Amino acid sequence: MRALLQRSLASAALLALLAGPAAAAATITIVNIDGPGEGFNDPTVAAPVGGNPGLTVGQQRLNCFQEAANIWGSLIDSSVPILVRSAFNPLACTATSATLGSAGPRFVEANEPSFEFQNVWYHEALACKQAGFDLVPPGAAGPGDDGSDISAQFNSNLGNAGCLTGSGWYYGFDHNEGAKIDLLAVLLHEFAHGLGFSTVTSGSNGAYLNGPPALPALWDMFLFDETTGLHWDENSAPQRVASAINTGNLTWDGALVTAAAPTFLVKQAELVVPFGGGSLEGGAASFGAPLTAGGVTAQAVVVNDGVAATLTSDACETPFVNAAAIAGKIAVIDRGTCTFLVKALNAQNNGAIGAIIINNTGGALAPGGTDPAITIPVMGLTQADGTALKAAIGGGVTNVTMRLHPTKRAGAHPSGHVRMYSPNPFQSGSSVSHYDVTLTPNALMEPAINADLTSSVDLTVALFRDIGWIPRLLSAPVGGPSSRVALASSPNPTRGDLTVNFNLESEEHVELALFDVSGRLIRSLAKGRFAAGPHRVTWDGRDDRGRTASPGVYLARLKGSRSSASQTVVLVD
Amino acid sequence: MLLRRLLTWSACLSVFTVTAQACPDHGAKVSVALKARTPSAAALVAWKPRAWTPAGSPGAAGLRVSIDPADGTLGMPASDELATSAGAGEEDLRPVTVTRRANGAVRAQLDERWESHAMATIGPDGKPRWTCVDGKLGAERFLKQAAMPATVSVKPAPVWEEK
Repeated sequence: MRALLQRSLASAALLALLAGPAAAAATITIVNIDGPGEGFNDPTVAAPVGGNPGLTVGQQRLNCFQEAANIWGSLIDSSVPILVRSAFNPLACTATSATLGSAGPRFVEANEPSFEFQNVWYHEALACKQAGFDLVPPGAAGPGDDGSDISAQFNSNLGNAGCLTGSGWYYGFDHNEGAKIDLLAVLLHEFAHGLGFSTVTSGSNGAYLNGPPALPALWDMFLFDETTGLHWDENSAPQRVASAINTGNLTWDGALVTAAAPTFLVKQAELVVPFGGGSLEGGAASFGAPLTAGGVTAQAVVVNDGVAATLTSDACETPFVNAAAIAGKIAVIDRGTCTFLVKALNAQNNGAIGAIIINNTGGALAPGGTDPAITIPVMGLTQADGTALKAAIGGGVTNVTMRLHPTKRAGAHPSGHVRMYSPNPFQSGSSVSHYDVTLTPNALMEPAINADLTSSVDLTVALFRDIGWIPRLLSAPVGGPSSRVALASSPNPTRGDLTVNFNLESEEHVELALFDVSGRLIRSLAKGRFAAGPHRVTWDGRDDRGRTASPGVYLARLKGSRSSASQTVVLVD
Repeated sequence: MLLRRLLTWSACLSVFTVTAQACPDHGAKVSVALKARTPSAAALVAWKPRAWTPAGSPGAAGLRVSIDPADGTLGMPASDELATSAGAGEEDLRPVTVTRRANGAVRAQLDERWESHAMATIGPDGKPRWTCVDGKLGAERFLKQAAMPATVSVKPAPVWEEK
């Protein structure tokens, strides 16, 4: 699959890893297939809203689609127009639930010779970009076929009687949807799936979309199991099944998402504890005092609100029976019965200086809500970690610190890779093809869409760089040292006994690593603070897991706080 | 039933026929195609739909969410909800159409099973929540399971309460 030939061909355009600003543009055209008087052509008069100047409902719908298309079109890069076959139709719904719409790629393609990677399925629009021409021109997929790459259909009845009554679409561009549903946010998310943010490999049984030929998806090349050290295109079907539910350990290891993560994700909330590994991963609440690096340290005390009908530890009633014990301490609270805001405010009013809310179901918990009256820091813990904490408290005085982790990012694995959604049990339709819900701030492509999203498409752009939508441009000239650092590797080509020399103009923190041409980290060679002057690092031809690296073209990249340089390295048999 | 069997046999026969034509000297075919590479649609060689399946849930895009019955906040579905909503064992195994071009490239034509269906419910706080699931079957399951009270009052000015 990853033939040296293909990598070499691709390397000329790919010897880059950092997401520098790049001129990118693609034309995304909305193909309106609605009939007269309906859907996009609905003549019902409407007032302009939220930056959408349309004067009819139909016009506003079309404007909204075009706005989403324009946003993505300004960020990705393709010389081939992307067609989105679009319609508004009455879709299934009830008074309290509804199909908003559907969208997805119409085709996947593999093995066009100009594709960056062979033997993987590409979503159609990206395939056309890679091919440089329209692989499905009008008529190619059947008589009368419009040749569109993505299909999208949305519900024209939304908000009418019997169809999510009282709600309806919000057609503005400003994400000020109120009680309505933000069409633009839905479209940005769904278009991203259509453009390539998904796999066609089954996460439930691990099977590839099995042609012939049975091929992994492009997505699978970047889907990385931190436990096995294997990508989804490298492991067996049973391994993929296990990987899909390896919660917290399924990541995206594309270099550009990894590089962008620290600039997007905030630092991970952490509870320092005197047991286990000494640290529990928390979820920072959206309200209360922000966590700090120094944090808040105090004894952790489980709340007793005196009402056993539910849980005495749910903090829904006040004053607490053990208010005296809570005062000046960190309150430990169970989720359930009342809102997070009520719990936190009650804890604060009983004198707590911090509050920890323990989940009552699987997965991470980042308590949400808004209440400026809450001024103490609040974080969530998983049910398992909460149980361990309560056990420790039951065993004696337990002092803890609520703080921000010094290095870890919220939503990133300790490896630095961004986590992908991999709950156990597997969730068809959500698992694997979304970012994890622990990402903070929230990302567009999480499986649960959050109301704090904007039209900023956050880490999704970086992922689109990883899969080849956007040129992977260097921030420093390839092979050319910056004025502050010199980098040289020898012998080059190498058989795996490479010496990398770098010379720093002044002391600084640097990181030296090897990447393959797709931007994936192969081996971290050095990381830390280095004095001014020459330094030498050797590479034994193995990756971070100790496996012999495949022959091919690699990039040695040195990135420092004030300088950077890179050099092509060729590994031969 | 008879018609289905006939169609199945017909599909099987076509599989064997096409395989016999296409597979014996695949490498040679590819090398020839590289020399004569053309982007023209005329270069397409259609393969008949064949009896291969999407192998269980195709794992395409999807979003799902549940409302905590206690605090009315948005969260991920609990395990018991997932067991019924994931639809394991109810996969639609219809074949999809594959087209192979003369240069060795392959195309699979996806259908609505690979579409991400965006779904919405109104939570107990009166706010709409949206998510999405795989395919039409997933959407139908979602609607069946969305047994929220029909008498909720819709409050204006919702606030974000939970990730």
